[in-house]
Amino acid sequence: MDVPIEKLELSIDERRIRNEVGRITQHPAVSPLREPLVTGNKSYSDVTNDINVIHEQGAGLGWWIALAISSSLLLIGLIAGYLTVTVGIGTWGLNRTVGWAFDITNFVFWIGIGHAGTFISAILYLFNQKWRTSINRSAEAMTLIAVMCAGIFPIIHMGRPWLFYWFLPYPNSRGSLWVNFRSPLLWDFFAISTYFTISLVFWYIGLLPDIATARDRARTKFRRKLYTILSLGWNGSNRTWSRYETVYGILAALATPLVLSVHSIVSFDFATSLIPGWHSTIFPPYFVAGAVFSGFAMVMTLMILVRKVMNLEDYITLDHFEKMCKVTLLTGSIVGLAYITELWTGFYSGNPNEIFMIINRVLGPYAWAYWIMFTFNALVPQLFWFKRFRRSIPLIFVLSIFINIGMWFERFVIIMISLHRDYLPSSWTYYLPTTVEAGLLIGSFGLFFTAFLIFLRLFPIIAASEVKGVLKYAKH
Amino acid sequence: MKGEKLWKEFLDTDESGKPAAPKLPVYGISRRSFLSALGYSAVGLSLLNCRVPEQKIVPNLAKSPEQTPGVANWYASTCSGCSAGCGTLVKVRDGRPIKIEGNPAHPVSKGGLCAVAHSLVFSLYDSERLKQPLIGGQPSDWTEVDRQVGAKLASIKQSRGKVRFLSNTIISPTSKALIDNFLGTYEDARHIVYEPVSTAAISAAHLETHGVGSIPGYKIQNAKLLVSFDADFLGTWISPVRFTKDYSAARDLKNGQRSMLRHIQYEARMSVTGANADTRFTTSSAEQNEALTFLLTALVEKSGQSKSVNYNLLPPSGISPQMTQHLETTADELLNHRGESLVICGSNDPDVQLVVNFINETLGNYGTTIDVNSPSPHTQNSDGTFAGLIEEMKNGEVAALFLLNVNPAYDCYAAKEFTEALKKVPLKVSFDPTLDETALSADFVCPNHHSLEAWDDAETDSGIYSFNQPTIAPLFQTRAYQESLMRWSGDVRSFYDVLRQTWQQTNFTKQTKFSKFDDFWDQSLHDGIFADQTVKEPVTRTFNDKGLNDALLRLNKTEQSDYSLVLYQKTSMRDGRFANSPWLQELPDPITKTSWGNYASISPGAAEKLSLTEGDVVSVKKNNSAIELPVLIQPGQSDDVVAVALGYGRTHAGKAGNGVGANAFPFVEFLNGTFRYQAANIDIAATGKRSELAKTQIEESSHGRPLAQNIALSQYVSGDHPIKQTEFEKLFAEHDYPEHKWGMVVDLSACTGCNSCVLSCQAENNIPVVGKQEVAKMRDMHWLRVDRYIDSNPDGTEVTFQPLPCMQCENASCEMVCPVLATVHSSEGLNMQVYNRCVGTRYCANNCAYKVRHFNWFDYPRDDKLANMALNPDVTVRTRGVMEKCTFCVQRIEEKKIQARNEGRPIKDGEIQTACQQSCPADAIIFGDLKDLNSMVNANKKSGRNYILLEDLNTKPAVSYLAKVRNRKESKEDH
Repeated sequence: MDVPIEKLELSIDERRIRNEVGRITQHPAVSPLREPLVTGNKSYSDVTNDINVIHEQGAGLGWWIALAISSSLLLIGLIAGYLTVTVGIGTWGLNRTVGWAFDITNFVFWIGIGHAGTFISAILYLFNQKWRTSINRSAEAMTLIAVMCAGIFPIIHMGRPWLFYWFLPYPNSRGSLWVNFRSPLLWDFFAISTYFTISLVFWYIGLLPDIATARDRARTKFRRKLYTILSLGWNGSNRTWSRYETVYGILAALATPLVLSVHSIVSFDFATSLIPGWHSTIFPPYFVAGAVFSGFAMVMTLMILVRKVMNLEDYITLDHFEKMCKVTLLTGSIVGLAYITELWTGFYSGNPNEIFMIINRVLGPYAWAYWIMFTFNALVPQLFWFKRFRRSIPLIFVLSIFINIGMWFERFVIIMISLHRDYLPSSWTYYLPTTVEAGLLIGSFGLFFTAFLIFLRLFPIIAASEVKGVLKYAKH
Repeated sequence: MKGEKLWKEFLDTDESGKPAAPKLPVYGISRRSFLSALGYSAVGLSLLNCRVPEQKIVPNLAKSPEQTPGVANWYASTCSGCSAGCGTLVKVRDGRPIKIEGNPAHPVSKGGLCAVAHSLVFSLYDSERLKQPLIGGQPSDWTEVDRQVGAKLASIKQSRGKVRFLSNTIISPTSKALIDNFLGTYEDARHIVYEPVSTAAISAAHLETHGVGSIPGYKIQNAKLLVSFDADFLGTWISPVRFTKDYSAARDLKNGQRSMLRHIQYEARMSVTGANADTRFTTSSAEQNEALTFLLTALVEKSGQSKSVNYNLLPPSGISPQMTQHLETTADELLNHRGESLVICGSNDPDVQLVVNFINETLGNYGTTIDVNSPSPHTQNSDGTFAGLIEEMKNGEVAALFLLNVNPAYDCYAAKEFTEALKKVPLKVSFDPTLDETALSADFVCPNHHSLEAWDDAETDSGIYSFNQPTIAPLFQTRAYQESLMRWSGDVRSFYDVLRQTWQQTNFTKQTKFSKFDDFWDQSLHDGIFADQTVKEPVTRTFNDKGLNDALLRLNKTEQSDYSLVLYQKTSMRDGRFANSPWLQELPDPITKTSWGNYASISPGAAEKLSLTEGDVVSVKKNNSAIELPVLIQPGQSDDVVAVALGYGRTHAGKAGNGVGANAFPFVEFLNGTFRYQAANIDIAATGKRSELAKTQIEESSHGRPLAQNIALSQYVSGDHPIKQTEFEKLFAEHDYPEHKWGMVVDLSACTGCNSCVLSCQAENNIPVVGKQEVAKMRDMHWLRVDRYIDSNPDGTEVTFQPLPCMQCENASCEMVCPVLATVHSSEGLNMQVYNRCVGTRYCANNCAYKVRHFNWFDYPRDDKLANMALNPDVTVRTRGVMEKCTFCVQRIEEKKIQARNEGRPIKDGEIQTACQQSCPADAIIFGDLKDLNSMVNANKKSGRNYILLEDLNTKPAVSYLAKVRNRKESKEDH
């Protein structure tokens, strides 16, 4: 589709023309109507080089500094975990009324973070959103790591974590001993293990063409061997590609419902119980929207760092951020709507316990947590209505961190504030976290960043094969 | 010791089994063999001190007639916790006493027990008890003690020195006679009875008015109206279990009664008794005495009697106009109940008690609700004689002092003075079982048996004799103090023989049922009591009113003060005697819900005035005494009163009791012949420090939620009240209960909040003690808790109690959420917690609307092997990371089920009693089978007062409550 230049001059403004003309003359195939997905006039070999060079070259100083920091955080988490397992849950600040606080808050938070990855790679794929190609690989990796971080908490929060396998409905020698299928905690177990499996397979299948490229470029014996095994004999034939596309599409279709189901099921932990503030039918959609919201915020935080440090500004462009900001705005607004709905249904129910719960959230001893949540999640994303803000990297970086803080507090508000004052005022308590609990939270971030940094050095962090497919985006 | 095998016998034997001669090298000793011989002998010598662990295997063929392994024996005995002498049944499992219950046949306590009684088991297995006698603080043996004490006593006898025997109230007639016999051999010897918390003023006042120097018998059950001035008779006053029994019986509505005893309380601090009152008035410290004199004046005026009251003496200067009004109303009410009312007062001022006697006399209560002819033997102490003893000691007049169950170096009003004076006594013999503050300075400590190891008897009410029988062989080398005294006067009999002889000579002759003494003895021992049926001729006593005018004159000089200190006892800690019991330390106070320590209670008004918040440490000062305590804000307390509990701040109680709280005994004053527990004009000042209170409930108010529900008697009678039960639509298949469905009803009207059930549950179910830090983190483990709500209403501050065991819901929210099926529903309606299946997700606790589940945050210490002897072998000890909760005492249910099955009969209603139910002195808890249509529990569930806590949730609990009924005066209070 070649567009005559004369026509173009009529339809777009001066600034755009100055920008585009040079490229259009070189690549007349590119549409000046849309922003290109990859800037910098990349050729196919540029893409291959740019992306593979990241994991092939020795790590830069920045990477090592980042690794030092994140692994130190991880070490803090390991110490906290050791104390928890050896001494007992008593090292946490929980009490007889507040049985969950940081532990399950962290769990839901990390599961939520994971959702963006699946959303980007599966749902956007099915909807043919080509812009996803630059970010889906690392977003999926983030998903896997986040689910791993999340998985730690249900295990370590148990009084006897060494018996975690009792969650498994496996045939055993204990007679009729079985698991309780009525328990949402068990549903969680299934939901998360399914989610992790599908995400892992999806991510790995997507990696195959790029691993094959890495294999072909590998200079060291170790890398060649590693990638040879991992690439599963990829030969780039038409048949391979065709099968790959089919499997990828099927997996995307399989992963799509998980985006909705996993966090719905996580929300059942609360929705099916009887504690005011937990017992709410709004939770499944509210949690899913919140999960995508927090996940996109985390993707943005990470991508801003990655594109800067790894010089990927041409691949992860401002347009990507703008689009992600729009998703954030939408999901943030859904979350905000849910907050307001919650307030309204609380009062509308006429149930004194529900009304009290709302008042206690908004004005009680932990009101500060509620207002952090409300401000960061419902109000802050509203800035993204303005294009100026959607294209300002420093602002997006700050806001995405705010949103992450806000979303952590959302789970804290739901879990802790609801628990600490429930039906009988006689059992009302306060909750103060201990250093061990803080250590575990810090440690989970340590694990997250450490694992992500290792991923950066091990695999092509951008789906090069897919990016190549959208280089001539306007043609399609 | 008998049965003791020493290692040396095993060291080396020849073929015949005799110890072989050591093989010495014949030709000199090499370095090697010298060293090995040295090592051998060193090991050998150290082994000489070891004893083969005594292990007896009991062959089932020759089992002892009383014992079946695994089946408990029950022995009737008497509680030694205080001088009230409640009847107990001691549960002995495999030779170990593990639990104390009330003896239902005992006429004083009628099966009820207080919290202190339960802790006796713990004190038996207290590893800090003395294991042998001490001479000059050094461990010794009894022969040496007897030799030395005997020699010293002989010389005292010769030099005619003064011998003083200082003890607490001894209610045992045999022991009392034995002490008197012992003292009788000395020229100048006296038995002085000392109680740190004294009620001697009542005896003194009755000596004055009736010529009987003892506490009269209060018959609450005969009263229709009870007016109490600062008397905490449901908590700690004189005989709380007995009073609670009588009180709840007089207020019981369970059997269709439509009327109940009315109770009015005037008090300065908030007591358990005040919390239960139908009408409660807060008096300021200035008003306390004048309120009584005003009431007397009003009564005399209204009743038209003149007597000898001089009205001009009594201008109601310190009383507020409202209080005058209240008192006028009370006077009217009292006059409507002449002869069936009772006025009591907790003051230890003889003048005040004299006024009380006059009030009761004016109302004609003597002979109906107060019986001076059957005085209770409880308090025999005379504060004056004790003060005299200190003087004697100071002057160096006392040659020998025996100390039994007293600790004046800690709990006397002049502890320092006493300790100093004690140094001047040449022979100080203490019978204390532990090395407490006073025993420290004794020359000889001759540890007495624990009461569970000793024989004794008790006259717990006039004509009611009960036994104290040993339930275990003495754990240590202790000796009954009676036997010590006998040894020192050359008597070699055992005290058991003396006891039998005495009973043969006294009580045996008072009955006709048994002809042989052995039969009589066995039966009495079995029952635990012997009631003297011989009818005593009632003595008519004239009321002597001479002292009144003087008393009124003295009372009229009440000094004005900004803040007065009110000293009181907590229901758990009492006078601090059992401070080393972690059970009692951790038991929250019924009113303040605070455990582990005392505090300065001030009213919200005072807190505002002094700008103090809860937990601020204040110093309370008067003269030379000063203590620092955290502040606790107590609604319902008078603004000019600072209330501090006694019994804390022990320094030599043991590791659980040392340094917990601060000692308030130095504020006790000795005035006009009695100890006073109120000090005017104290200084209270913030120190700027903070100290956390270990509260088990931090929210006071019920927030208007219908939790512990209250109705007025008139509402109950008319049926016009909001208590109702709703039938919800059944959406799901219900549980099937083929045989039994256990249920419980808790009568909030009867419950006084005394917390006896909490300790009973703790003892029965091996519930760990977690310590102050953990309680402060709200991690107390009590399976059964008593919720307390303080709400303000137009009548003032209203306190309601609500015991909360596991509700054993039919639609249990906990059961649904456990991922591993560790909490499941039984076919008898119990929510069972399977400890070894629990992985500790705490989801069940989160989802429990009643928050009755408790998590084992740590491995709670179980390393004291001796203390572990108190564990109930029928109940699993839980490990870290496991959830636990009330089981409805499933072990007791199973025990009775097995028994009934063996006997081929159905379970009788009331046969199964949960631990909380059995100990309740108010009979507030009814347990039984809901499938048995004639059961008590079913009958009560049909009562109009029955309601379900958080019914809306449709959890269908097996526990329901009977609303509290307050017998309010309609005209004035229901507005």
